[in-house]
Amino acid sequence: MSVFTLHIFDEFVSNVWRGFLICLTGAFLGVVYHWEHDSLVLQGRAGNTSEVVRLDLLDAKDYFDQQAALFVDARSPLAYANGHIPGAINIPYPRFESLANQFLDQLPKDTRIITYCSGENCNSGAKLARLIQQHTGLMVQVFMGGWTDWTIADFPVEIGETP
Amino acid sequence: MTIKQILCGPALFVLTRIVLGGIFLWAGLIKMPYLLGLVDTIKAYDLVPHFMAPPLAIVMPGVEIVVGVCLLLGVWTRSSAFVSLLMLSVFSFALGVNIYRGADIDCGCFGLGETRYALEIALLQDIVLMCFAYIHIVIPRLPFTLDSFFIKKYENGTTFLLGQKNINAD
Repeated sequence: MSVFTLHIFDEFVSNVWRGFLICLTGAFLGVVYHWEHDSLVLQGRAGNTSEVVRLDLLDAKDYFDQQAALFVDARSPLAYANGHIPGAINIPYPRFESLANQFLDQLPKDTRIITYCSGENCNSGAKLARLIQQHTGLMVQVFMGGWTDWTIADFPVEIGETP
Repeated sequence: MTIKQILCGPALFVLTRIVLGGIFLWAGLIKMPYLLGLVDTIKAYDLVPHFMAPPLAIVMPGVEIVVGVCLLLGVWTRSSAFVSLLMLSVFSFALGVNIYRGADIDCGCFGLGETRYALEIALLQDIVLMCFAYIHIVIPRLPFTLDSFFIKKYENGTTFLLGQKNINAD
């Protein structure tokens, strides 16, 4: 092995070490920031936003049958138009700011809201639920199975755009 | 101006460094305050065990910010480009897997919850940024960086903590 290769290797190792140091600094920064802002899991409690309650298919169906909850569809308007849970309103997660006032503000204070998105592998339902909870203070739950479970179970659906 | 002149001049290095660093810094700063949203996003990508999501969500924006600042200032340029390349390849892998799965998630690259960044666009952007980082890794030239300033200062053998030997510093 020539001196040249050794030198290159040396340089590579020192670069890796510096990269490691950079990562360590970043991690430190993250921990300090969240420690300061009390927003942490680190301190063993949920921060200022409480976790929303998660529902499975049968619970969601119960609420649907009793008409005891307002379903909110977090998917895109196109997906909503192609089929959604009957009576659900459509608030795509990215457009929450503009649509929240239209739909949510005139609801009675004891309304139960259930959000859903396409299925287990989507996160917009849970995030929308958290937003609505912060925004209105209503009881919000998220139906984890979402549209996938609902259609697999062959429950009633409604087709069409938002009224 | 020929292509060769553009490639050898400082413009390429300065521009790629600032774009790469700026995007990293921006992404980190936007994501930092939304811990729970980021935890949800990482869980939705469904690649790491779910108990790993909170620690990752704490560390990731921090590292992005530090890498961004290092690249913008030109401190430890090559190493931060190396770290950014690593992070970008992890992101691209995650995006690629989820595109393959056809998952319905938002990218969460810049802030959380916009859908104008489709996963495919995010992947494309990651690949371009990987090329930028790669330039800085294979060609260690450091025009207008703090590195070059310190290397000139410590030229007499010791390189202290900063700087690489054998660098064609402008």
